[in-house]
Amino acid sequence: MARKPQAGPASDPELLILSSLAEGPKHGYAILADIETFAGYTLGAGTLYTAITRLVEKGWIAPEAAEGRQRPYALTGKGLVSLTERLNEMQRVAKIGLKRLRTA
Amino acid sequence: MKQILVALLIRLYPARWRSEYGAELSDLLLARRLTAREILNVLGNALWQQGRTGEPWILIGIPLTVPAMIACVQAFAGRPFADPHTRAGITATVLQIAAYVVVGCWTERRGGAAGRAAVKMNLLAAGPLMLLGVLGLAGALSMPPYWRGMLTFGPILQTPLAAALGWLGGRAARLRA
Repeated sequence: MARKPQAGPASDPELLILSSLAEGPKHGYAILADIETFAGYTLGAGTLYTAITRLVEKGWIAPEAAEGRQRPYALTGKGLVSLTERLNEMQRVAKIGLKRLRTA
Repeated sequence: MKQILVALLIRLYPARWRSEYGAELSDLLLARRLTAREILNVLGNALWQQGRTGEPWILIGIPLTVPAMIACVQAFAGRPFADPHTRAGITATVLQIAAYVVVGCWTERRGGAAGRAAVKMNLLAAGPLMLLGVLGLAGALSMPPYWRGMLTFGPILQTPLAAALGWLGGRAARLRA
């Protein structure tokens, strides 16, 4: 059973969606299933689409040609840069925290 | 039953948002187990979208109907809330002026007509009071003649003031931009 983060950067819907789309374009249902698998976090459908709306407005993800009523979303160049920056920042903070824990 | 509930939930979102994402969200909800938590999640996010994209005059005007009704009930009970000589009356007047300016400013920033938005908010917020006034004029509600006239025509007489303050709010928004 995967860990269930309740708060903090690892449960930020935007970050989770961007991380899911880093693997390739996905539609809403596939994004939710993927996030449940890799983060152990269940996003609400309303939260998912609010975050998708924000990410589309920021130009970090973009809808592709529809597959029936579902449209897959793909990471844009801008989204890729933002995701990389955010993950690097998290990694930097985590590294420092873990190092301090070891030396404490 | 589930389809009806999902359709109702989707209807809570703003029309523009629905046309973009409504079908996808609807399909997703139909494919998942619709728990109370999921319903509350969709409800909360629908309200959030309404707040983000709704018309400022509606978003401010609807909550303003509540103090307007309270003021009216208090006045009928013989304790006039909005007496301009009391501190509460002055506060109410200042808040009313601020509401016109804020609606004008907000509407301008969204590319709408600031003065017209303030007028619409004024009529919306005073709508229940005007209805009471009309009932008084029709004899369906007992009230002093002064109140009948003031409730029915007061908000209409305030229209130029609302338009001017809304316009000023719009100008302020343009100066800041």
